Amino acid sequence: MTVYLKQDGRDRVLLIPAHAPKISGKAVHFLFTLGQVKDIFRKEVIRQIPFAPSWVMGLTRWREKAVPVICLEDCLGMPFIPSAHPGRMVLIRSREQYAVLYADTALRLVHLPETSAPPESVSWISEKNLVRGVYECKEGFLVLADMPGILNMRQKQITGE
Amino acid sequence: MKEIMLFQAGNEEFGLYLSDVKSVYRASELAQLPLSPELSDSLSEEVSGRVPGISPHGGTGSLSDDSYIRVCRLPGGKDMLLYDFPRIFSAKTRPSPLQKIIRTDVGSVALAVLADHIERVAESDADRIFSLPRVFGKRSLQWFPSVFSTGTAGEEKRLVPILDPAGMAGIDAVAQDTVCRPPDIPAGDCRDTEEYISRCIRPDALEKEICRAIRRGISRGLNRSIFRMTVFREKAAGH
Repeated sequence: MTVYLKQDGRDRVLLIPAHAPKISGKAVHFLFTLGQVKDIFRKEVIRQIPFAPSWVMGLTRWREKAVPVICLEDCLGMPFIPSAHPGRMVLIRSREQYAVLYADTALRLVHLPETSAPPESVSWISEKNLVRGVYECKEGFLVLADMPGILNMRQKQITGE
Repeated sequence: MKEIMLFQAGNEEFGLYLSDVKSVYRASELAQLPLSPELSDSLSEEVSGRVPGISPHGGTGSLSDDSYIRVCRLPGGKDMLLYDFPRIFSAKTRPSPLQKIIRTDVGSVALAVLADHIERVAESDADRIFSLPRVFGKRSLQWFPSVFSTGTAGEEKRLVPILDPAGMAGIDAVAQDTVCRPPDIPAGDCRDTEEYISRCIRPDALEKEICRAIRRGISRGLNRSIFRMTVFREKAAGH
């Protein structure tokens, strides 16, 4: 079954729980705007590609396309706990590129928190240049990953371009 | 329509354009020798000293054990580099009697791939072959620049990386095809630079290169148009 998200409000965002241990007792989520979320679908088979960076888990099929599956936690250098039964995949669009993230069933579509503050420390993220911002609110820590940076600049670092 | 030879190495499945396949041998038919400095010297200059670093099981890193690449001797006495795919990608070290050696030439360089078995030759339209996304990094893109989506309606669909033999060996295929090495033609033998250049370029290779450039240009143009049409259609559908 495929779930389509309507872009019915600019202030609503999707929270994807990170497969990471709690930080100071608070959960960590990745935050995406609805404009970034193209589709949510059931887990598909992943084809590993030799020599890929550790955070690129492989390729999967989406409709008639082949899309890379990435582990954001590993990419950002966060401590992570591999999920045994991730049930869903979230297709993220970044300009003309796509990437798929694993997600548990606990996806949350929420209004953008009214109050948030930058956390005191983000030492638990080692690749800070790939993060647009981290906010602390009642939901926990919200991490805004720099998807164009990850899919472009990051690969430039790898390829040495 | 493209024809792709699908082969198995350990638990992994790979593809190779049939146009890149020169011949297929039973692994037991050809002598396989460890890569030694003497043998390395006997290989063509393009390959000698350019054996890429490979770490076991497809990870990145440098090669500490060169048994992943061996030298394979053809019946005529010609040597070629043999890439042991079952070992590289599946840590499989036990040879099986069904193993095959697939010879693939890049210009004048003979290369070979060891496979556990050859599955079949599949036909594919261009729309079932995708470019590997750049996020996979340099080495993945060099070895497997494209991916084939197998299966038609009713069949199981799988994604199979297609091997580029030139990328695997780190050979610049364009340079291989078009230009002779400078020592072949002493510059002093030519009247001027123009004559030197014209003697360096092999006419047959130049023709091939022009055809390849035209083909590449057409397929890129088509892919871009298809992509734009898809985006437009999705936008129009309100997704």
